[in-house]
Amino acid sequence: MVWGWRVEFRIERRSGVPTYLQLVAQVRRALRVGALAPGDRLPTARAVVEAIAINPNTVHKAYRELEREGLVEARPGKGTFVLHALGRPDSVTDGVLRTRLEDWVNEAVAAGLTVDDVQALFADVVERLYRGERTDE
Amino acid sequence: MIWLVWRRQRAALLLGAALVAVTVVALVVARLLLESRAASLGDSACLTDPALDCTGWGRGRELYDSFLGPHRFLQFWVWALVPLLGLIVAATLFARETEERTVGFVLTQSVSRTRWWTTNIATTLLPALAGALVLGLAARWALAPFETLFQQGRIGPLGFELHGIWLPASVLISFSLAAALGTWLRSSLAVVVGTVLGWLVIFAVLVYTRYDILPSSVQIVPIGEYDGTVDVDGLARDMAFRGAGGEMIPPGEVGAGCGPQENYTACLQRDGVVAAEFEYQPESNFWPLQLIQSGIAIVLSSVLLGSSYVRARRLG
Amino acid sequence: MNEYEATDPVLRYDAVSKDFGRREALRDCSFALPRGRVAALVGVNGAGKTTLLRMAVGLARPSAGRIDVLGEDPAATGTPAGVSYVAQDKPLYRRFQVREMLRAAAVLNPGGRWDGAHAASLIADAGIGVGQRIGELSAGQRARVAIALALGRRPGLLLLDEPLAELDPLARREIMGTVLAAVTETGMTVLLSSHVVTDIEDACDHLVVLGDRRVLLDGGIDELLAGHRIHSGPATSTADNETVVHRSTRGRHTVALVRDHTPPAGPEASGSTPTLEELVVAYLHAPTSSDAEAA
Repeated sequence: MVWGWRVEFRIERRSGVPTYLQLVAQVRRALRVGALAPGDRLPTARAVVEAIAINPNTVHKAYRELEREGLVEARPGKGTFVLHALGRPDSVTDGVLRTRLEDWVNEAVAAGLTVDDVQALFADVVERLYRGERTDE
Repeated sequence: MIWLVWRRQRAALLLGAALVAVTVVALVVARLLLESRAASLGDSACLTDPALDCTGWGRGRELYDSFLGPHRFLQFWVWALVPLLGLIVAATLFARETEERTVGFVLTQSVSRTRWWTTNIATTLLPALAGALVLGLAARWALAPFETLFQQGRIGPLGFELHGIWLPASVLISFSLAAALGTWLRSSLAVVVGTVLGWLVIFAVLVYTRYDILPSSVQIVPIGEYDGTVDVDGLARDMAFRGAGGEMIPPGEVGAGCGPQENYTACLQRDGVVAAEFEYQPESNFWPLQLIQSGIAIVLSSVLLGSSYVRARRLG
Repeated sequence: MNEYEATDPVLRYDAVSKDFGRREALRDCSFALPRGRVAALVGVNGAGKTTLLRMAVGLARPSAGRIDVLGEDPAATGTPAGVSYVAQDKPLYRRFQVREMLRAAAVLNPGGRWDGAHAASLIADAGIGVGQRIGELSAGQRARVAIALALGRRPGLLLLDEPLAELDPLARREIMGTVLAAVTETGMTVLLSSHVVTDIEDACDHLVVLGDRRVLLDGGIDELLAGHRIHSGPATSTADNETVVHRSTRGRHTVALVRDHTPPAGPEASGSTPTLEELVVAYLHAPTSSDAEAA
């Protein structure tokens, strides 16, 4: 994990998804929830590499992919910067939905569910209700 | 690089220095005690006049009895400590590097193996030689009055080792042995055992051959003048009786029939003995023997150090 | 193997063999490592990985063949100045304090190349005090000191023998992170051995597979994966341009890893792309060698 940056990378080794695509997806998710905003700088390749021990080429490849999609821009000598946020209703991050989700998670904690339990439950519900819809990850 | 060897061998070098210091103090104290005791007994001349016989039953007897044991002990201690110094500083020199595998660290940095080996040897051998030198000089000064008192020459065992240049040669052998074994064996303990055994074997061979290297001198005493003892200027080795025809008579073959009250020499004469013959290694052979034996030690050490160097070049 | 020859390899083995007495440890090993790669040297325990690495720094000499490390022959000159090597047991002087270990490394690296401040800062970053004794450090801390000393030499080529063995997951990630950060900064080349592929999968972009005392496979990982397919099914057949590396049959079900001789394989090619682990396992289980034409 890269602390001190507004995006926190982690690699799921068993997922079967190529590492660079996992990085791309995590930046997208950060853009979606507003953790990254236009003008923010992405962590340097060195910082990512040091934190999660992956090959530097993988980071470069992920950043190139994000650049190709027009989400970020590499400025030589300065770093890689966010150009666009990913559109979503404003209510998601600081609105009603978020508050309700937080309440729900609090209940789950009170009921003794672990992080894994909650995530599995959440993933299962999302999977079932969004079935057939393509995700962008 | 010298710092690194010093840091690694620090404990061994300090232990060696401490042993030398304690021994020097003991030697000085022993001499001062001997001198003050002799002065209080009025026997000071026994310590300075070699011609004065203080070894008998009369004069100096108390001095002789009290200090013979301590003198023997000090002689033996210095004799043993000097080669021990070589072992102490060299036992872990190379063996611990292979034992703890740090050789894989030190030999993959930017120092050549030749420089590594040379610095290791120099940083430990020179202090060991210095220690041997200091002990030799201290023993020379402190034990001199003892030797006068006990009328001990330099040529005999223990006297020979504590005089001349044997002490540096002795430390050189044990050091080289440990340094060579250290590059072959991967255990400091094995090096210690191997060095002690090897040094004892080498020393035994040198001692047993020492007095045969140069011809002995012979002193013949007519049996009429023989009173049971004879003074030779050197190390007595053998004696025999000779008959009228010059034939050799082994001591065991005569005197068997002598009565308890009978004069022993008269009895021998009755058995046909005309002269007593004493074979001894003369004191004048001291320096030639020192040079020969130390020379052997130096050549042997060079071979051992050479093998250690060749082996260190291939260590990994 | 051949596509890199133009880009001056940092490390090259030419038909290298090594015997220990009558035991043959390595036979006729040849491969080249291009500059800037992070390469995994993979093989089962006892495959000769350690011997292969030790020969690159002059701790062992080839019985036959030649090794070129940054233009030098380590058998003649010892460890080249541009190479750092960390043995599997991370040998350091146990009785030394960390600060004394730093001084030892400085003393052993005269000539201005040694960057003591860099090594000291890596050690400080790891939260290790310079007053601590080496013998009292944890395995992970010792590894970090050893790596810091290796990086203090500012190497162009870093050789690590099983750097992650016997370490906990956190220490593994920290150590690989340190090494890879140095790669990002300096572009140095890395060759690290491991008997577990998953440990180093994300860190490496180059692969050397050692088995049966020989180099069975080497090259860039992306190219190698693209050049192989897995066929699975009751009746596996292979096309003319393919060579079976390894085939395992369980009942009527056969899984085969094949080498595609017309890379890159297009999406129209049949079968699936293997994972790195599948690729390595197939080569290590291959009956004879990388030239499995006979199979």
